[in-house]
Amino acid sequence: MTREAPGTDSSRSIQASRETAEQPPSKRGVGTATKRTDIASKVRGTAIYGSDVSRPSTLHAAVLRAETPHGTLRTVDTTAATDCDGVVAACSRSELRGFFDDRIRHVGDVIAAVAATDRETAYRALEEIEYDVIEHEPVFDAATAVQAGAPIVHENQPDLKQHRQHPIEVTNEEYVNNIDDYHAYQHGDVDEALNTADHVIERSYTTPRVSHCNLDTHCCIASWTDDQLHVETTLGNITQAQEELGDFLEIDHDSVEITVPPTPSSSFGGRSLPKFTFEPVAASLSERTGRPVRLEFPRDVEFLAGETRHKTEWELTMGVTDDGEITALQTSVIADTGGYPNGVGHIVLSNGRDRPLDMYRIPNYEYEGVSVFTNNVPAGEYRGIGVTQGTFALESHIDEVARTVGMDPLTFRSRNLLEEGEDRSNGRGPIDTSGVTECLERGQRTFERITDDRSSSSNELVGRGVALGTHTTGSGAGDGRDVSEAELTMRTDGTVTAKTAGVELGQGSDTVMSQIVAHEVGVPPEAVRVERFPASAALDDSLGAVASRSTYLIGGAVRDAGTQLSSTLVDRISTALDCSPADVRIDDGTVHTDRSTVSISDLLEEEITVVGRATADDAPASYGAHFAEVVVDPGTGHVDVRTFVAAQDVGFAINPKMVEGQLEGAVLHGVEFAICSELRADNGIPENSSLADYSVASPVEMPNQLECEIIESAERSGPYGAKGLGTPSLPPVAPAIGNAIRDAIGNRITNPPATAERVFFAMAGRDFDEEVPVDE
Amino acid sequence: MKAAQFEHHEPSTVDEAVSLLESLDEPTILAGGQSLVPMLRFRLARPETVVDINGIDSLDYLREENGFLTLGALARHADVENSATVADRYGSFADAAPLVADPQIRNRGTVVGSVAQADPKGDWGSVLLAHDGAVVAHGPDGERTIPADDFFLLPYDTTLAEDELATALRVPTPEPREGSAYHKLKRKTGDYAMAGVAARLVFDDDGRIADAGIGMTAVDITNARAKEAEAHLEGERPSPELLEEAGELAAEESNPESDEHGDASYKERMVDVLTQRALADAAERAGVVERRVPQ
Repeated sequence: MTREAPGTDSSRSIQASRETAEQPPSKRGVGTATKRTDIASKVRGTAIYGSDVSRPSTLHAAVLRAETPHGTLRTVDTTAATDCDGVVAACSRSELRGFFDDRIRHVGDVIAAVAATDRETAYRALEEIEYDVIEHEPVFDAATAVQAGAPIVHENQPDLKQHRQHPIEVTNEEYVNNIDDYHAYQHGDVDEALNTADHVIERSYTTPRVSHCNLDTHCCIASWTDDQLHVETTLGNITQAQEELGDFLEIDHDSVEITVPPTPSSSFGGRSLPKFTFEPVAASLSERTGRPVRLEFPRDVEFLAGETRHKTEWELTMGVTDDGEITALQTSVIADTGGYPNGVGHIVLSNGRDRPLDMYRIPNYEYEGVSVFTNNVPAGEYRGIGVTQGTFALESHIDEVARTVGMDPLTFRSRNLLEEGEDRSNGRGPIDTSGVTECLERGQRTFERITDDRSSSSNELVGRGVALGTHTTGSGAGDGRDVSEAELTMRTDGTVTAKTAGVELGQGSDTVMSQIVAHEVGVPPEAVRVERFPASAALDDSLGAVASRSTYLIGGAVRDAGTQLSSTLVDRISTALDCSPADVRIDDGTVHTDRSTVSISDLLEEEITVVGRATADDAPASYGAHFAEVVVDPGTGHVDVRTFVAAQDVGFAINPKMVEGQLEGAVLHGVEFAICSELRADNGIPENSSLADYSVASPVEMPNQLECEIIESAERSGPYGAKGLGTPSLPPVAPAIGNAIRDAIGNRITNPPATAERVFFAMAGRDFDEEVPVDE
Repeated sequence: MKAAQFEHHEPSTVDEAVSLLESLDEPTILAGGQSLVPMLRFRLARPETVVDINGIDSLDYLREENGFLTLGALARHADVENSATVADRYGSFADAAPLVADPQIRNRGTVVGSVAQADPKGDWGSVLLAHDGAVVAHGPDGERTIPADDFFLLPYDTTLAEDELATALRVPTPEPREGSAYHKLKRKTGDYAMAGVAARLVFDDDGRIADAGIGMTAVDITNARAKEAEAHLEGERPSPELLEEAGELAAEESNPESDEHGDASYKERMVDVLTQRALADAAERAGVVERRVPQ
């Protein structure tokens, strides 16, 4: 097939078979680096994001947020606020619609809210609200909060209409209070295997609370028409969000309609689902006033109520033989859910449990995970939920284990990798397609090539590290319950409108969908308009733009529709031209037969509409092998990630340039996780909830040299062999950097971020505030 | 948030500015707005009146004259960053300028404004101290020159009077065998200093240190000199051991506090490291030491 890839790395070689497409391909169909559909508006600044949207007669909301982490609201007096000029309504917490009780559970929790004619008036009115809180003893440490006698933030497993509620049986008698979710699992006999192992290596790791820091802050506009609630906001998982909001507000699911702004904002998980103190507050104020209400988070509230990555504490014990075979792994994790449940604790814990078994052969395995309510700011979805944290712990640990048995960490990993077709140790069937071996080989080759002949001066410590990572595509169940549908309409002018469940969050899904349609039908990608289908459409979709399912599942539905559209179109054309369908070739919007060449619009008299569907019967795992070289300043501990190679199995790169972009973005997030970011709190009060004080990675922190190796394993179940990329590409980044730091300084930072200060004291071999565990 | 309302005055001469400062009630001076504008926007400052000096063209200069490098009150960080004079002869200035905040701020923020703001985390105060520089101020009684050592009182507090305008800062032009440098450690690009050290060394014909200046950033309640370290250096020939001793003395003289930038004990160690590095660079630039002293 034709392949043009302007600007892509010439070292890329596509090794997988691409003979899956039956139709003659358009020149700019799948497998080529077509231009993003949204690039012009984003570069020119004409894109309208959520916080740019204004609607007529809209009121502006401001929220009075708690400054103490735990208490009971005794009185809230909004009278004076209501009397302010320009204020249309002021609601106390208990007057808000939904499950708002009188309890304050974290700094930033809602006390009251005001709607006014402008934002400044609304904020000024907050100063007029008087309230009285009875403070309760707070709890901030998840491991403490879960024990008997700890202050109660919530009863165990409260029903706040969060998704993924499921019955749990807690078998650990030390886990008593504040349980959000719990998972325990085992196979084999771990105790016996650890007793007989040649080496047993035990270690703890913690990962920090971090924020997405999306550039566009949360902004929604809520309005009611009779009993119908409409919310305009960036949300990736619209179907589920409508259900959750409906349940939370105690109205029918069908009475909630969510639409996204003309240009949705970036998400990275931060915009998958509704937030407790966001959409419901705007909806309540709108209902009260009978007018649209706009609520926007100021930047500091992004940190307080925008939901963070779960802070986690891991304990890993691994048994290995002298020759480097893993015989047992025992893992326990405690995740900090913060003040409110949202169903995400479940995902953290189940990913922590399952992902190691997608990667390694572990004959004896025991896992226990608990997510715990505390009076910290709430945690939620963040790219690579749980798997980012778990992979940091596992891949750091494996590095240590390999060192203990005296093996090269890469060889050690290869020795224990699951092979294609080999059953997972938990009996969940075999790995179908795994490019992991190729990721390792090609990544290693590239890494050696570009780090070759480096001399290091006495002024720097250089270290190199590798880490693997994997994550499933889609919701992970692979049980056929996750579905998506897409509708394609070809108009008589030859253009196509694709209605899909995709939400273009910057990940490039609209471009990918247009490429698939172009490829299947034979039109240029510019002739395809991609739209989000409305809630009222008779089209089905389970989860929207989350869990790396857009290309895989939504793309699968678009491809299904595309093949139908193509065959209907060819039939119509062959009838019109009185020739055999086999003689019709459509390319770039032009119809070619033996006798003539005409455009589609000249032949099509009626528009064609088809609906395609895809079902996730699988949840294919996608793999990455990442390599890092760091330079540590021995005087200050400053870490510079000098070189990075991300070799990632993507199944098939529908748009190689955007795949590269996703990988580079993952490296940025991973560098940030490894060495920059941590939302710190003092008694539940975030200390650095501003972009001045919270460190995010900038281009300066990016590796000087970064190579993305795209590996294509041709996944059987995905469109053209594609599988998920957004999530799986993140987990290996931070541990690769952590392992490189370990290599450079001889000690391991087990609690990222590896700030200069932590690295400095780790080099000095000195414990620092007992917060930086240092290994000799 | 947007700034609260204020009255905006735009004098075009220094005299006009001074008489505004004299007549208005608690006026605030706006130069680059590097610190003032965020404070206005967050409403940490709610001044009634703002005297905007950006229209006083006579303050927009950076030049060497009469034995001094002089920067007018409208010289931006970027002006220093792009100055060939600075690049050739004033190592500490050339080091510090690109480390101030980010390019947008460097295009607006002024060096004199930063010194007058007297944030102990500001970089220029340390450079000024290391160079034995001075601030030039205009008030109702005319011009006076305030030596750097007498300028800083407390965080955000200086010996400038309410009705005085800092119109320039100046440092002596370099001696024949002089070198200077600035080293800064920060959590991330664009951030304030976690610690910073400016060093200036003047050597005699014999290769001994005739004069040493060390200014420290973010490790005391103001930009501060490391006087004992300076005294320890004077009369000596530079050696790694001497610089190590000076680094230790400077660390002892510093008084950092633990904050979101780092733990006090770490900052103190960093004063040691940064002092050694700045001194090593200064010595090298003075042409008396061939190679950089490691670490």
